[in-house]
Amino acid sequence: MPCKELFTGRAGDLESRLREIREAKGWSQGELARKLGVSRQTINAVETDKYDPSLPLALRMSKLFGMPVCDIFIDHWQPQEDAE
Amino acid sequence: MTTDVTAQAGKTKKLVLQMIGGGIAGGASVIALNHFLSFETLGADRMILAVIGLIYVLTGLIVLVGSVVPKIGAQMLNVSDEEDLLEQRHILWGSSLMILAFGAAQIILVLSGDGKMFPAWAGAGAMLLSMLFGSVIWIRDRHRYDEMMMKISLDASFICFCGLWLVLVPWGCLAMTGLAPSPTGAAIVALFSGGYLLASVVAAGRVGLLAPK
Repeated sequence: MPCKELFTGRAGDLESRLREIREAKGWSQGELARKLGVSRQTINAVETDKYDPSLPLALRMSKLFGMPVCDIFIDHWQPQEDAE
Repeated sequence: MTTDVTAQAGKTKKLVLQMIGGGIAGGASVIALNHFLSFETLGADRMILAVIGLIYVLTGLIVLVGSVVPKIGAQMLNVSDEEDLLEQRHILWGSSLMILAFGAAQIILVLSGDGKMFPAWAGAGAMLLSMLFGSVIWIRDRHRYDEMMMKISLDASFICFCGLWLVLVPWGCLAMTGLAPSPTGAAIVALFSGGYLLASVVAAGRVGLLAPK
């Protein structure tokens, strides 16, 4: 387990595009929070890459914005090649 | 760009002023508590417990004022604006009363026992009642917590557990072998309540809740 996870509480290296997508819709953080049934602080934490949403919340965002989860959150993880 | 820098400077200034205000209020309260309780007569462990209790009481009071009067709360607490407080008013109400009751119970506990201000049963009873009150509030409000708040709560519990494990187990081992004095009741309560307070700050900081707003 990378040591970083211990300090940040985040398992991966996700990059959120939520702010950009929300602003393109013209919604405030509060409006989006209400639509998703979470607090505004949660939206802010997701947008600033401090908190990774749960799978149900990510799926709700995907449904709301009409785009796949992988377009909202960019995962920089790459599978390692199997050693022969 | 200039607007961003100005906005950030404004947020940092607000946070610094809040910290100075908190420091002054905390310092003044410790002096007042010392005047009232005479710390030197309490012993180190009870004195630490009293100060932790006072921090809980002050935190509870500030959050309570913030949730009752969001306009003032937005200046006192690290939130973006009044809307943040209005949105979470019910949770803040409950948790501030819970923190306030727990802090007050710790101070009563410090002052209870033989030759103290209150009889022994008053301190133990106050603590048990505050724990019961906290449990009722948590059960009532748990549906209002969103997933990040729940995660902060779980993270804080885990961090607190790890910290206590690192302190209490070695201390217990040393005490068993006669290499250190056994932890007193006051020390155990202080470690748990102080540990959870510290762990909550760390858990909230990890999701950016302590960043200037």
